[in-house]
Amino acid sequence: MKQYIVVFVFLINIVKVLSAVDGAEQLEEALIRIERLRSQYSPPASIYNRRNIDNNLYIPQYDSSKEDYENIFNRPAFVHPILSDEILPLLETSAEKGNHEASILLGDFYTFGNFSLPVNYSKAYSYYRHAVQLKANGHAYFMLGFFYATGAFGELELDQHKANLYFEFGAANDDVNSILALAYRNLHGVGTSISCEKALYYYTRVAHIGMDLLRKNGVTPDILPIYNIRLPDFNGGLYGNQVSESPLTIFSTSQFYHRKKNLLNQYTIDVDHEFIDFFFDALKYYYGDIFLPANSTKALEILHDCIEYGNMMFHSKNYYTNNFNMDFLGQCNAFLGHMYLIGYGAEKDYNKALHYLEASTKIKNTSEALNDLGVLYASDMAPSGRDQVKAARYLNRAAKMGYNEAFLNIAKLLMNNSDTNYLNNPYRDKIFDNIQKGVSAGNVECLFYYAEFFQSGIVKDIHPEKRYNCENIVIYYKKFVEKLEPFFFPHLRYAVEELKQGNFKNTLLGYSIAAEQGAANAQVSSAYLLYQTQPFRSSYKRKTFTSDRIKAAIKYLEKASLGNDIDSTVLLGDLYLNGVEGSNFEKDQNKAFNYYKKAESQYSSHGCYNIGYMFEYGLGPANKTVDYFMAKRYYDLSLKYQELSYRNKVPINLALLRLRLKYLFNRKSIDDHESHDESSGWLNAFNNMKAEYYDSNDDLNQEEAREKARAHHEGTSYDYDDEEYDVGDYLVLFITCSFFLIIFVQNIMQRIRRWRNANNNNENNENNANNGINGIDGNPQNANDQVNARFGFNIGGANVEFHFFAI
Amino acid sequence: MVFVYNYDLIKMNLDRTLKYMIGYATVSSILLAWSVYDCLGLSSDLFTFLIEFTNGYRLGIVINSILMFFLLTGKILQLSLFGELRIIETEHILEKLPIFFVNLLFNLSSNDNNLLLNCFLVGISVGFKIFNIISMDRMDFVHMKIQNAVISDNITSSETLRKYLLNMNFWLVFFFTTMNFAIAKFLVYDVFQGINSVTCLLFGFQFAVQGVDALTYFSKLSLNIYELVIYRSGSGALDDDIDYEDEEQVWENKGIFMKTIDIGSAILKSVSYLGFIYLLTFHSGLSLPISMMQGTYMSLKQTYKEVKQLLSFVESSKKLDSQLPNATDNDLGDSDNLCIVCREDMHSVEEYERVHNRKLSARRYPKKLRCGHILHMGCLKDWLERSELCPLCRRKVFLSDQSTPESTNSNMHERFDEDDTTNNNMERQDFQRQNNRDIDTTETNGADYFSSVRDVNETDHPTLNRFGNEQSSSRIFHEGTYQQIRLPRNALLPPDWTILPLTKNEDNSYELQLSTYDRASFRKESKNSRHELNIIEPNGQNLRLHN
Repeated sequence: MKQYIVVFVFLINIVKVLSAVDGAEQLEEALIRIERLRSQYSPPASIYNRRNIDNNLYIPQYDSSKEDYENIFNRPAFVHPILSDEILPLLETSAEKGNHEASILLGDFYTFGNFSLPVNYSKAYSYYRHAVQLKANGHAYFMLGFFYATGAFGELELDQHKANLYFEFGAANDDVNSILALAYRNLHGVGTSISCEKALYYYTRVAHIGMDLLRKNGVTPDILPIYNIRLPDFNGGLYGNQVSESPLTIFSTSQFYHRKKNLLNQYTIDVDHEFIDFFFDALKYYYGDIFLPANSTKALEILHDCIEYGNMMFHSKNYYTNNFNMDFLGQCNAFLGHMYLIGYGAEKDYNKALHYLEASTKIKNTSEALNDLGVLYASDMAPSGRDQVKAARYLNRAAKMGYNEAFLNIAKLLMNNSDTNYLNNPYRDKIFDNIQKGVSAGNVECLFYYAEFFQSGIVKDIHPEKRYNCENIVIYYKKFVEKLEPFFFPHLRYAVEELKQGNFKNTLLGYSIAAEQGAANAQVSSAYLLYQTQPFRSSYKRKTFTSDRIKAAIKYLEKASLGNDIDSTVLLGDLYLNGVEGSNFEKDQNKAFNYYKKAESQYSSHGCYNIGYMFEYGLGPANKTVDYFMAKRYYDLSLKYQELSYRNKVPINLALLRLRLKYLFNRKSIDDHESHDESSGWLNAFNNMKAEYYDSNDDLNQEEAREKARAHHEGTSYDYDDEEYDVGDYLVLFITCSFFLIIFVQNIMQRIRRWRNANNNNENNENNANNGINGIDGNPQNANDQVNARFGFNIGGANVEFHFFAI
Repeated sequence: MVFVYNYDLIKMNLDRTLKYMIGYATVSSILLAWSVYDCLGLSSDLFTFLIEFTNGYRLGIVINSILMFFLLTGKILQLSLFGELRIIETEHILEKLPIFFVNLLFNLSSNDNNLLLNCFLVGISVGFKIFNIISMDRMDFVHMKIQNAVISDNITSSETLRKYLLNMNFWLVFFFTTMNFAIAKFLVYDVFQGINSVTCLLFGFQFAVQGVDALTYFSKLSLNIYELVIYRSGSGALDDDIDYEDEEQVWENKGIFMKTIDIGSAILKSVSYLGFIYLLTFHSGLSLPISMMQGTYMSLKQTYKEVKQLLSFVESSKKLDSQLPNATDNDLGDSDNLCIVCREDMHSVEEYERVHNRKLSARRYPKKLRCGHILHMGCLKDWLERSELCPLCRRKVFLSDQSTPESTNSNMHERFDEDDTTNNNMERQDFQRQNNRDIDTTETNGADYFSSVRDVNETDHPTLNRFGNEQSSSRIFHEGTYQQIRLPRNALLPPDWTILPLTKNEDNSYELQLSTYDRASFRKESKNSRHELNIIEPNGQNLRLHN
């Protein structure tokens, strides 16, 4: 949707300013038609949705003759007649007459494929070119730069210098995308030399634009970065769920809240669940996620329902009872107050906000409500007037509870709401301290202020030990900018929307634009769209990749690796080690080794394993000599990291075992090569064993590694409960179950046997009765046997119980 | 009858086992194949494949396939090396395996979480244990056959030796002995290379102990072979001349050697157990290995017992000639003058000299024990190597006659308990041989057999049966006495069968002793052919035969 808006805003400006230019009539006509088309056009039903995308995302083969991915969903190419018959000809005429706006519009149509128009990059390229020849335009320059930077993955010419040139033109015309792209290219030296100062300049520029936008629009959940995801994470990561080590980027809030709700409902069976349901449903609509657009009005409604229900239940008089439900009622109140405070889902209403927030704090003090109250009192609009003392008190309480926004708000309060002179503010020490705390607590805005503080140079006065460092500040600005995804990375949303439709080519476009601008996750996504590792067995045909696309993929992987993405690093290593099947990609074992080594420095178990493997088989810098000792070292390291993340260690153990056997059979030849000082002797060996046995806490920052290990599961943190069960537990369970089963079956058999015996006896007795010899005796005997049979079963039952208790 | 029944049962069981195994193998293979197929779809490189393949429930499938692999290889090896198992071999396996297996599980309790390796080690250990048991039992069998052949067919020494050397089982025992040590060395040595794994160490030690056992067995086997080759072979057919060569036919010191080997192995085992426990717990500071407790205790106990037996044997062989009187003609006349050990006639010294006109060899002196039983001195000496009790009534041969029933009982239990050491395998085998001969003779001489059984019955527990003993002419057990039936050692009682003593009265009626307090009597009458005999479990007083 975003790109439509971008286009549309553009168009309105054009219409206003340039009505006198040639071809303006056609352009106007075309714009009217576009409006009409927009009202008529309904996009085809999406292919991927929340339920079917997990572990199911499949990127089809790219067909270079069609210049598109293979159409595996069998969607008919349908272009709306208004578009093909009316709009495009009108725009073309207008462009021919020298209207550069029409030309840009055509370029956008052919690049982004609006209204399901098949894209054509070379056409788009020529229209953009045509436009900038007529008149300078930042957007057109950016698109041209992008085409040169990527070569449209084999369709157009690739020239990084030209790309830089166009981006610079774009930046000169105040195109934010171009500035961002330039910032990233200067930071990492793409098509130019690395220049931190230049990058800092560009990032600062973007950050200030972002800050202005923030102030204008207010901080609402809309600006949450949710589209900057790695596509392979839908399938568990580049290496699948079990092996991938990069933190998962797909965090489905709706699913998360749904799961949390169910979990809470399970734990509290004795209380009503209404409040829990209300609260989490509201949260779901408040934040939204990729597949469930945020719906602030709905969230507001639910929260109102929640509070009404609470009034009904508690008649507002016993609001002070301490109850599990009350907590959630309090949170409903706090949330509603917050929505009124920021004006999300409803008009700003400070009275209502105050009412609900205070109701919330009466029930339970949450850091969010306290913070909001602080903000409220600090504002001039507060119903009771501005009260800085109260505000400071509330904010301090929230800050004590560790709420990151509270730090920011304290700092803002200290700045006295006059953002311009905070550098000369008498409280600047305190302001800086709070900003710093806010940064470490993860507040976005604090990132900006923190970087500003550094760049202004006053940090030197406050904390002389903290030195100015261009790279560090750039990182802060970069992070800040990347968090403002809707402002600076609108193409990410476009990419996800196109992905839902199964338009992989457009998805790639969206992600590669963001990738050029330095979004790390987008780089991985682009690489994934360009090249996918293939499973050994697949229901689809094996894919082939052209060398252009592999090169592009590797370029993005390298960038992602620079951004410390572990899986990309390992994948690069794998690619350089094994090459790509069916292409003339050049192997380079040394490069592979270096990438693995980099992964190893990031505590990657997978990377360590691969280094161990290289040593074991004498690949890479080992120069065809195996080194079992080094291999063992790295396998051990791999084992350790794997253990820290509670993952499957069996393959590494197997590798160690293999190594052990190999060593056993090759010992002689190895010992010849290496004069290993074996401090043999039994007692020594035992001492070593002891040392190794207790040597679980050692040198490296285990915490850091553990942190990394945890990160992969962050998105699905509630699965932890399931994973804690060990295989051993399952085995014990299985054995126990089978044990009981056997006993049960035996009992049944026994019962059947007894029953049969009883029957036999009956027959016998009947015979006897017929014979008339023992007729009178027969009947009691019969009854007796039946009693016996029943009794036998009872004993069997008691046996089962007995065994049960014994266990 | 009894044997046939059991054989059928086991044969049926085997067939069913085979069926189960085929079913199990099929299911396991299908699971494994599915697992592989599924993982291939999930993984793009070997590492990912292995991770997926051994993750979660799939690990269970892998472990199950390892189990299946071991079962199948074991079965195939068993069928190809040994063929069908004999009853005694199956019994030995069933008897020894549970404890061994529990011990193995204790081995796994050290925190070495290498699940696959552990499974593999357990599989290997159990497999080797089973094959050790089978190969030893089978070798005993072979040894017995050759021995019998030597005695009956008069084979020369070289032929006997060749019979052994050409036998596969002989080499199998040798192979397993060396393999035990090789694996032990591999597992234990590995640890000393710095690749630490306490579990491997424990398993290695277990293999070493097994190897020592196998070596003990092997050396004793060698002694037996040596004896057979040097002393027994080529000694000619059993005729009257045998008396002259008696001295050469028996290797007097064999017992001492055997005992020395036993003691040596027992001491070696206990010392290494203790040393190992010391090293692990005190030197390395690891937790006490539970799996070694049982082994340590058993080895210490065995050492003690073996040494005690040796001492008493040495003492008793000294006392043998001086303390026991030679049996007189009268003594021999009272009994059946048959030596229970060698099943040959005994002659009193004087009588022999008078008839044969030459001196009776010292080994053939009939010796009368305190309990009244008479044996050849040589046979008695052989017997005393193993036990200091009378082979017939289990009273002590030398000590003053204060033996209480408790002591004899416990001794008996010991004898049964001993079976798990290889040492006693040989004994047991010998004993079986004797029993086999017993049975042979009973076929021809039924009355004799029953009288000997009766003998056992009456004299076994003197205090308990004194009442019955005093009235030895009558075979009825009276109310208030315990009742006992001693079955021949090779008799097998089906699991849900019972045996009750049946006595016949003069008036053609029978009396059945149900318990100390109850008895049933019934009478023999001519039977109406339409009525079948119906036996109801003796679950109370109302035992009744319908007819």
